[in-house]
Amino acid sequence: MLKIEAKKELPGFSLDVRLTAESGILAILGPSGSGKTMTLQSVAGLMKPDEGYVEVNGRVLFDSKNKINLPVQKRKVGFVFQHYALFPHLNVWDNIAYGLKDTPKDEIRAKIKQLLENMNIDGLEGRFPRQLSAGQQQRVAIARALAPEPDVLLLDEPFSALDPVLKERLELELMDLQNVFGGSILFVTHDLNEGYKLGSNVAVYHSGAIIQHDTKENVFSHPVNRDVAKMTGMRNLIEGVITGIDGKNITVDVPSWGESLRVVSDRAANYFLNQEIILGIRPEYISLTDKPGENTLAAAVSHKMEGIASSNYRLRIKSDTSEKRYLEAVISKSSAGPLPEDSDCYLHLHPELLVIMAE
Amino acid sequence: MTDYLEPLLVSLKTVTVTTAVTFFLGIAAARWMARYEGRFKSLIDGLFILPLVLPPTVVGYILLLVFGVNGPIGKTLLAFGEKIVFSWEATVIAATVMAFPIMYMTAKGAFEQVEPNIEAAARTLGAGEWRVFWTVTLPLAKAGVIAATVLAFARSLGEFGATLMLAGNIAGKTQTIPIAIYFAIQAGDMDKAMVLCIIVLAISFVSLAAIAYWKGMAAKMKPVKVS
Amino acid sequence: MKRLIKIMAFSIAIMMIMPLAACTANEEGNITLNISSAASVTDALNEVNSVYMDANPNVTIVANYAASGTLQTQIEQGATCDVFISAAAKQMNNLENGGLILSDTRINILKNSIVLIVNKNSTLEIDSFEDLLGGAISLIAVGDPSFVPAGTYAYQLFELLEITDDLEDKLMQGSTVRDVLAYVETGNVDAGIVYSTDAAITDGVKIVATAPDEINSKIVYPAAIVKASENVDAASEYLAFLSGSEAMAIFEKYGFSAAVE
Repeated sequence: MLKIEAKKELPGFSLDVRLTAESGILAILGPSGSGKTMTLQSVAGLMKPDEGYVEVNGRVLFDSKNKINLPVQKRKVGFVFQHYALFPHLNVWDNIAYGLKDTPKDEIRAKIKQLLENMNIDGLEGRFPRQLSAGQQQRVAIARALAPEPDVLLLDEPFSALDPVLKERLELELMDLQNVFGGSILFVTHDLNEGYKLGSNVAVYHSGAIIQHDTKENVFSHPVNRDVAKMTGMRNLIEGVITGIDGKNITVDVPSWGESLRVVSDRAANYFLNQEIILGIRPEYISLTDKPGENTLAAAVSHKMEGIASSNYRLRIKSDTSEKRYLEAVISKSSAGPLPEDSDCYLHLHPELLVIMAE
Repeated sequence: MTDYLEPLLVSLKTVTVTTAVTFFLGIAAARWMARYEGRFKSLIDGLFILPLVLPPTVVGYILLLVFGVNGPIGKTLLAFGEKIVFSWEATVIAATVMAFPIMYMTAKGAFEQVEPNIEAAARTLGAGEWRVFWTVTLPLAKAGVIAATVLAFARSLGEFGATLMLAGNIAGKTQTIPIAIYFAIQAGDMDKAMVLCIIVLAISFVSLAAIAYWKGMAAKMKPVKVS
Repeated sequence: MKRLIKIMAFSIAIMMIMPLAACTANEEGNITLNISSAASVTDALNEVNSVYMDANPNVTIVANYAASGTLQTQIEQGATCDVFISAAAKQMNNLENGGLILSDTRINILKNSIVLIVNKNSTLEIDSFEDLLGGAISLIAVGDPSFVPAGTYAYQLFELLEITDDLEDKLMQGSTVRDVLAYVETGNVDAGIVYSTDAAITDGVKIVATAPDEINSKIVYPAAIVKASENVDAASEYLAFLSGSEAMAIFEKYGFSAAVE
């Protein structure tokens, strides 16, 4: 449904991305300045790539080779800006109606009424943006973008300015949006959880390039390299060497710990003996155990930060030769009460929760 | 009484036409330059602002060279039987040239203050550049544009040096209030000068009060980020 | 920043001391004479002053030219001036009545005549002041009668010929007679009224008529020492030179005639 290729050179930054998206929600994840917004702008025509190609529903919007560059006005792309960019001098009704100039009058009424209902902002049509809460402004912005029935909907960090409770509610509403809007939805976020919750697919950005674009399950459980791993919250990364492959079981030696760990992987066939790899595990997947055993490491609590329902720990592996590597673990309080600093414990890294990355 | 009425009428006539002309020229130029990213941006911008930094007599001299009977525009107009120098129209030309930079700069600043994302949003909703300007940029820059107009009005009201050089001192025709004041002082008629000064002060004061009022209105239009 | 303030303070101090320095310089024998003169005498007086300074090396003459009315106002406001030369009796009378000049130093030095001029390339058929009423003439430059003597004389001439009202709409008033000359020279007005001496200094205009004697005979250039002058002796010597034969020869060269006392 949506196909983008964009290359752009700017002082100190290079964008080079390629992606296709079917219907459904694609989450574009990445740190600030990695090119996410530029990609959206290229689709909308707000930015012109040096080289590239943009096609939506079979319609070519941009083709640098054939010198096609449809102006923004003609692209039929719905764009929800980061701070909503509502027209402050128009009320909600006129904001939403802005893109409906060519629609017959009676149809406009019906359309807007429907949108107000769908977006839960019925009754607010007479108000001005400054009289709305952030959540309401957000919904108006989405309604306004949807009114002219665009081919694709782009959202630039739609929920970044909202409090957690409101965020959750609007996230659900965005999911429901798919019931009324059949085109591709692309939304940019730096919030991993949000990206995971909402996207059926995820594209991970880093320094102007897409380093992994896959279903969310694959991106989060099989990150392609340590950049993706870090960006998806898999913060525990350690160098290892493959010393044995037996069916789905891979034995990995971790030199700095002097330990051998067993990893269960569907992709064992991709690896070979003596291959140097990176081993990763999510902080949330490390469990506490009371005695040594397979995939179990002796550790001491270096730092702890107590949260509401869980605690974050920084743990020093006792066999660690470098004294510089720590494991991060997030342990829910229901499984273990907060461990005091400097206390000893045993960490279990479940073979099926460990992830191998080639680099 | 005609002593005061004549310059007042000339000034009012001149200032009204000048403000109208400067309004349209200034807005058009400001809109063009706010968007323009070409190589000559600084050069053109500098040219538009030039009359603001040059001494009015220099501007007057240049205008005289251009519109005088020996100048390029003057010669052409003479062929049609029209003479600009020392005519009422010259007061408008001189005042417009002197007031234009202020209208242009202030309006441009107002346009640049409009959040670019808001204009971009309008475009994504299908609005062509004209529609974006009329329905989004201009309404949001309204306070600034009005302030610019009032400043241009005030500047053209007080315009003297270039006007004297290009339009001369013809009572009832080109003798504006500032010129009348100058000649009154030269003649030692301090009373006349004083009355004319008070008239100008009064008009200027009202203009400045108007700007302050509109600035207050503008504060209500700013998008409020509700948390 | 501190340095800038120091420099500024120093400069201001110097500027305030300089006038005093000028005074003390006077005591040492070097004298500066400030002469305020009607604009019409500019070129002639410059030459006269040159000759005077050559002959009197200890005297420096600073000349200030403007319309006589303007100069009168300046002197009334306290401008530094030793000798005032006016193009009409009116301004000198005003100063005398105000007690601002040394009455017994007042003498008439020059006479002049009023002429009608047009641009040298003008094709207008005009050879009298009455011709100014013609339809081909749309703009006539004259001095402002309230403070430019040449303008006063011009209006007196119009009154004499009874054409004042009819000419009203065509008149543009300049702030000095030299402005009027320039307007005609640059071709932006159809005709102008100046002194014959003004017309003589440039090739850019031609004289097409001269005012009748009734007007010209009234033109007189008085000169006097300003009461506030600090160089009365030097000023007297200068004034004597002005009315002497050497200076007169120069004035006559420029078209002025000596005022017969």
